[in-house]
Amino acid sequence: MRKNWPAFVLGGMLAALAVFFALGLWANPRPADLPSGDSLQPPGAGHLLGTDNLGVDIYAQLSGGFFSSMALGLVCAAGAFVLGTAAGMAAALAPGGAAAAVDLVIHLFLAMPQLPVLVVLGAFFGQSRAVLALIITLFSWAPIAKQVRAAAAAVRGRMYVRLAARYGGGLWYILRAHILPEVLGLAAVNGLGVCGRAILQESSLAYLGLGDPLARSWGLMISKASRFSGIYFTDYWLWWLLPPVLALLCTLLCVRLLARWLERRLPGRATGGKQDGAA
Amino acid sequence: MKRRALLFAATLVALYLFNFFLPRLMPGDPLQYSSAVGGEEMDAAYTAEQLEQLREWYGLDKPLAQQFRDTVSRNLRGDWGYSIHYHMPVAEVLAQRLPWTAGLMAVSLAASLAAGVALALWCVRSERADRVLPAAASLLCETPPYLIGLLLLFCVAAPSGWLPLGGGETAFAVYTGPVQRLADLALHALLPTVSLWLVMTPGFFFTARASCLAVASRPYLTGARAKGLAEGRIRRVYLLRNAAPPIIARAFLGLGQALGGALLVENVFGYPGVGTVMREAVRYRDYPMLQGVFGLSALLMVCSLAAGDWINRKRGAA
Repeated sequence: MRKNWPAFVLGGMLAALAVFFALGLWANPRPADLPSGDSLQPPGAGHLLGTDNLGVDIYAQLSGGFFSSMALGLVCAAGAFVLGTAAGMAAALAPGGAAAAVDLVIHLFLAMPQLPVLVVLGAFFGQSRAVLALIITLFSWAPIAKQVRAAAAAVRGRMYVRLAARYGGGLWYILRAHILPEVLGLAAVNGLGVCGRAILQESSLAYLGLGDPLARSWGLMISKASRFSGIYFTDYWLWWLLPPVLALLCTLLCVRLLARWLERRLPGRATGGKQDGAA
Repeated sequence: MKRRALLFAATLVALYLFNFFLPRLMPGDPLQYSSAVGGEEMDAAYTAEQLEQLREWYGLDKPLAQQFRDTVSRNLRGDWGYSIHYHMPVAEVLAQRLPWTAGLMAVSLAASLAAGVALALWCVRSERADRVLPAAASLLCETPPYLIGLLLLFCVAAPSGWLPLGGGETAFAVYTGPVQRLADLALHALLPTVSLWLVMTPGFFFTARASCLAVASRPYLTGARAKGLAEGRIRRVYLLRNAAPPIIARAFLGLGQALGGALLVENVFGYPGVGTVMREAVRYRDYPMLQGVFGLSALLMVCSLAAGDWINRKRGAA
């Protein structure tokens, strides 16, 4: 319990953020996509966190942004988890040629310059959130696959697993009974890391003007606010620009640090790709 | 070794193919588009002959293999297409903007390398530092550089009054000498560099710390101490020189991340590098320019990965 305090702190902060933004969505009478007051009002009684240049409530926008970011992050994480586990397993366990091919694909994706790829694809294939989630997923499974591959190869080389194979355990049996349980934790933790990265990438793309223009997104808020002429010479940035930046920063740090901490605490964590898969 | 080289070559080819096929896989026909959206009032379409002519002009009537061969030979001759927004060849735009980005990245890489190594050496020397610094560094390295940039821009530059809010140099400035010009450039590059530097330092710090700790337990360090050498000399000559290769490899392996960060940070500060070109290209849907930016960053990324990998291998072999 005492050793686990970082997880409790980080998890607690995430929960607090979720509650705060849930309140903003359901307890706050102001809509997030329609003007509900005068423009650029400072935080006060009518609008808890003020309004933007169109008079839209900022608390409501922030809250919508949290849940849409989280949803996108979790979808991408789940996708990358499934893809990465499958590819990593295939690279570790498939017979000869197929494994090499999967390995090549993994390395191809690892060597891609992430942001430019996302920008090019985002620009070509439009701006709906579903497409965005798909693109981000497609370009974030490779690190998971690499780790899973190393771990699966290591487990497969262990004595008891080889013994199980000698006793006639088929590939599927060994996969289910011995390899998957050891690998899933690693893949899940890395998936959580992908969740954080996906949120960041979505906000970066939105900041560059590639997000869904209708979505409630922190990146979009930041982009709009920082392009508002006069934002530098007034106090508007204090309640218009700063909150989405801080919200994004807090959420990202919580998710990423939690993932990092969990990864370090994984039992029997496989280190790097050094193990020889030729068992 | 050969296998790795092949892998990187394959990556480069795959990225190139991706760049070539992407616009051709897209739904829609650019010629239909350009004939329909010429202006608000205009709804005239190209005639079949005109379409034919345009297709021929752009080489789109040829078989795919022929198109590919033409593209490759054009690209190899330095012709990367023509930017719709800038009205200039893509290669020329990139050549103009690349020095800005390269300068930004080089300075911030060098600075974060130096800071990371210095902090790591401090950690090796002092246990108290070793308790605080790693936690602070892991907090910092998960922070996206463009958010740091935004915070710096609004919390430091805007209230300061003398730090520029954007751009690469003062517009229409008349300089009395090279020193003044250099000072102006440095002032504009300061905040972008700092935001990149802050985010990149932790990576070097962790690598340098691990590498130094690994070297610190080697017998030759005990030997050097037994000889009575000064601590400073031991750290510089014995420790740092042996701990250096992984740190340098890390610089190359981290270049991809640094590139992504730099492209975004440039946009925060309106710095006239490749990143702002990318954003403009996105805004005006300038596809040739976008492909040029992508091709350039892919080339840079794969080369730096290969270099980092080569250093790592050499170290493994030695």
